[in-house]
Amino acid sequence: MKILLINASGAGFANHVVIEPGTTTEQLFNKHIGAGRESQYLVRVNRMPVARDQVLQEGDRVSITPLRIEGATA
Amino acid sequence: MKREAKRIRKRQAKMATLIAARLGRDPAPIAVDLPDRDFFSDLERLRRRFKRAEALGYRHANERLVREQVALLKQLRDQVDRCLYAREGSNEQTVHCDRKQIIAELAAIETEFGGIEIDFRSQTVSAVTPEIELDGVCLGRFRICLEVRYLGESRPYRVIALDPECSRDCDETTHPHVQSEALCEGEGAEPIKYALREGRLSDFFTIVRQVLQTYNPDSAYTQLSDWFGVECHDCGSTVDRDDCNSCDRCDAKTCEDCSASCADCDRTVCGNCSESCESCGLRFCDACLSECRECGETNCDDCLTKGICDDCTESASEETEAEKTSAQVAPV
Repeated sequence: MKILLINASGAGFANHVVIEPGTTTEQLFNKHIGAGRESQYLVRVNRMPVARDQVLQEGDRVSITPLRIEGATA
Repeated sequence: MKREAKRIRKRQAKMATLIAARLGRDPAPIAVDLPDRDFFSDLERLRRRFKRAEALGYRHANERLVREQVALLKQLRDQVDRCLYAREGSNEQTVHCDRKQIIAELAAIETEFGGIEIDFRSQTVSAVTPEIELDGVCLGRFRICLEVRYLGESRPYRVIALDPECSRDCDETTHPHVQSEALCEGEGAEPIKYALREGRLSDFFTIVRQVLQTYNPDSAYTQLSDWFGVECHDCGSTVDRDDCNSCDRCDAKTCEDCSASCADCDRTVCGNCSESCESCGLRFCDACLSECRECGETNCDDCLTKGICDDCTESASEETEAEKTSAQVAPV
């Protein structure tokens, strides 16, 4: 099934990705970011905070935003 | 309460209509640039410098080179992402900027930030961050103000300090990465651009907030360690960054009263790295002073003759004269 994944580390594109039915938020995160790094990111499903074991549904919108995003001088 | 909630929803819906109309205008095409081959030359150059620094045990140089490598790799990654996006995703609209989606975005901002301000006169949508403290310096709250009429243009938002604690050397710098209400986005530039382009307003506000909550000492308008001024290494007084000097020997910062120029090599030096010549009294850096071989006192090169200071040379010649005189008057 397809969901919309927005990964704000890097270029921050929104992309449709295909996942297996029953995939949880945590599993998706581990696949795209890596296990053990949850504390370094904000994860929102359909713009809301969710539990890590929430099962994703068709068409869900998942955004992953790093807590640390370094600014710079011009 | 119900009436108030209904009024808020109505305002959000009206603003969503404005935003959707603004975003619906022709979006700028995505520039497609293949990764620059110079990236790889630069990475190779950094790798060689890193190996050299590692072999010589230069720990600080190593740390700096690692940071440079990371920054370069991130730039390369972003450029590759952009090319992939342009080639693989350009025919499929990933996010719809319709009015219903924008309403959901505004509601999400209200939840994420604990409130949202909509102003139809100025056509702005704003959210306020919590108090920001970086490295022990309290910078206060910031209002992220999105100017709807400028959506689609570069930098359609301002970051306004609500409890300004400006840096001492510039009252337009309210945050290490904010000057004149403009955020220097750094790593956030690309995600912010695409979030705004696609109408993902809650992502935009969240990313800006995270940039404000992150301190990058390698690229700040003013370092937080100098936020309230620079402490003179010698006398301890606080001065503006522009009014302090940096010791050429040890990099210590000193005020203009405490820094000196070496009378020989002209280097700027602090109190720790300089001393006065015992003979002439002028100030020199440690490298331009030597110890007298006889008395051990510190002298400049001009006041030493074959490693002996003028005083010792004079004492030696007086002793020689005295011995000669003694020898002449000695009884037969």
